Amino acid sequence: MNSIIEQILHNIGHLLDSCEAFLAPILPGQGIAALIAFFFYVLLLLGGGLTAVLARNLVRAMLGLVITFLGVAGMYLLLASPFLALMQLLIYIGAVCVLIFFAIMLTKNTTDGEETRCPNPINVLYAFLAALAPIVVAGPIIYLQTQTDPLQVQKIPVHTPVDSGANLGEGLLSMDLLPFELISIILLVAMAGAVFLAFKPQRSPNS
Amino acid sequence: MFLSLAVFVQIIVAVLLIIGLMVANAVAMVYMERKVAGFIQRRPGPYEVGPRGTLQAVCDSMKLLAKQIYRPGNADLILYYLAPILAFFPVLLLFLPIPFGPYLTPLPVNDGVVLILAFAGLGVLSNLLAGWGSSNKYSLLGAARAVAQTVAYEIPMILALLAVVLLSGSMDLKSITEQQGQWPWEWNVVLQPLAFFIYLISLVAETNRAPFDLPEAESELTAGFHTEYSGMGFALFFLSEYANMLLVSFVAAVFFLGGYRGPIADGFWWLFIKAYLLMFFMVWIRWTFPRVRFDQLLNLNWRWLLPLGLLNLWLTAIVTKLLV
Amino acid sequence: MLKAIWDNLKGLYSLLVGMSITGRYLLSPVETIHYPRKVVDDAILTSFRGPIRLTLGKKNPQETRCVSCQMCVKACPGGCLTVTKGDTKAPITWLYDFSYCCLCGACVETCPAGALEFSHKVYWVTLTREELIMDLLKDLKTRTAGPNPNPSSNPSPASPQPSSVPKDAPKASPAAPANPVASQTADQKADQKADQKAGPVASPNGHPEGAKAAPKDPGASPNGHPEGAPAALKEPGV
Repeated sequence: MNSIIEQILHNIGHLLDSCEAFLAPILPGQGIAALIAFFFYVLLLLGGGLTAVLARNLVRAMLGLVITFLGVAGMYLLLASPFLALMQLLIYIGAVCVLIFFAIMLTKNTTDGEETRCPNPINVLYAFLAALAPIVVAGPIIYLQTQTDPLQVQKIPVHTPVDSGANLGEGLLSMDLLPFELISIILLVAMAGAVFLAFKPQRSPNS
Repeated sequence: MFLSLAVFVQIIVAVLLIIGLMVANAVAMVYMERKVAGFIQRRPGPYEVGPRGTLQAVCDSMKLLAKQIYRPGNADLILYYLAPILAFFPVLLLFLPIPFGPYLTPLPVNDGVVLILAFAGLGVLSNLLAGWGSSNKYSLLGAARAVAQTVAYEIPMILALLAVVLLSGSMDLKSITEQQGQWPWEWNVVLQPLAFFIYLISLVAETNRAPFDLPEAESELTAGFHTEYSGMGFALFFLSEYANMLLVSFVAAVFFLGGYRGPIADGFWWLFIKAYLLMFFMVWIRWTFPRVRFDQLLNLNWRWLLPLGLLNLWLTAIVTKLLV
Repeated sequence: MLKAIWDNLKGLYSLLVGMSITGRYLLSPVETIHYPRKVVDDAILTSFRGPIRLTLGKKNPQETRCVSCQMCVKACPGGCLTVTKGDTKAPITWLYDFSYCCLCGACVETCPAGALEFSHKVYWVTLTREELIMDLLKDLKTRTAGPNPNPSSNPSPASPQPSSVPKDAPKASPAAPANPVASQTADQKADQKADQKAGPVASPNGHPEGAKAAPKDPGASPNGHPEGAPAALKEPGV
């Protein structure tokens, strides 16, 4: 029994080491600060996600979503993409959450909806199992990782660009031009579809 | 984004100074607004408290501090109390990338523009939460209008700023300031008058100032999304509105009017002079024009400012990249 | 399309015109005065609707023209008037409750004898509701009686009130003691010129920039023509 616990603790120790090693090439010398930031953002992500799923009130759920997006933006910061982090804030929190709020506000919002009742126990079991699914998938990988020397983690060279916006622009318009244009077409179709679905022809003769 | 100790201390000191600036700004702006409103209406404004009414804002803030904070019975606690806080703090963050002087940028980032635009979205969120959390249909309507207006007017604002970014070739606020000259004819307003005009209108609309202040229209919606707030909650909204005004004035000054650069001596005084001139302009038009109806407001944005902004951006891109 | 653009440009021009107007107002001196440092002179308040008062009789100024027909009592929407007829046509009591009055002027218009008019009483502070009930007959007598009659003074309340009158009150007692003494009509000034008791009854502690407020120069025309009036309104800068 003791040895099993020892083994688990040993593995957790290895896990933390590999986390640190994973972050070390990105922010050399600032290991502790980056780790603290990482766990703070993980807290935001998990807390926000749990709030979004478990809240009794739809607007509180939306608030949880906002916190989740803040955590994601923090993760982008840790991955040395400040531009993407700010874009995440601008687009997701500034636009998508506002849209969700309008949807909440304009639809009939009763206080005895499905989310306010106690959840069905079988659903809770299913949710729990679903939450464990990533561990089933990622677990072996991490385990294999800890078996080898943690410092041999595959390092992706990340050069912190002086002007990340310019690099992004260059990439979008030269290497990934086709996906860029396709995304624009999708957005156009979506806008046109939204207008078409919502458009009511006006009855007044002088419109 | 490296956090060395020096940068950390610099940010802490800057945040404290900025809080001081926000409070001082609110006090000064309350006084200026009421005095200018009075003079435009041919009356003296506050006169009794302090010499020529200068202590009026202090008395107002003491009153707001001492007022009882009562909330509606079925208001959502978390949302109701979170909203004023959420209105106040992002504005603090937004003051960080602004170059106050040649060596006085609290947080020099490469993407200053995007930072400012991103955190303005959090202010929108505070309106929403205030409106919903008050459990009051007038507040909700006011919040919905405020959000529709703010989100709509962000787009011409972004387009106007993007035109300047295209011209300067950088998103860093300091280099945009540096690339403008000392004299007024060397500032960006000469090269981008249409963008300045669009930005000026968006400025007034973003901060919910008259003539675009339908969300807080006192006569129509009984103060809109901050109806149910009294005392400190109202004070925080109030403070954040004036801080927001100061912020967008600073951004306009940096992008179009040369920032801290001036004819005689470069320094933070020029930035403040320009920003306060713009704020005076905003107060002036508040007391000149009647309130714009909501559909007129949105029409103005989607049918006039957005095409004009796009046209401006297009022309700037052509002239900058192809002809020069 | 072009027309729309041209319309909008014209609209923008009108915005600039509007701003120039308010800009001009911004730089012009203010029109209001600071009560109680200065008061508005009675003589220029010719169209101000203060509490009503009885007009002077045609033959005998001390008697009212009222014939107790009760038309004003019926016309008043607030029911503030009480008129009691005596043995003759003249009324014996004439009570006016200002707390119900909305200054609509129905009584003034309806009176067939022309016995009512608006006074110009601007500065009036009461501390109890009873002070707002005025006896207009008594007021008529006080206005027209005594060695210094002042027929165009403002009506006083029926009940005595705490005296907040400055030092020149005795001289001005034919005039309603309720008024700050500073507001005097030219009639009063002409009356008091001979007495020379009332000094310049202007703002009690002379405003530093001292645009002389209420006291018009004694050389003002006797019918209170408001020439000196603009000086009375000048607020000494801000």
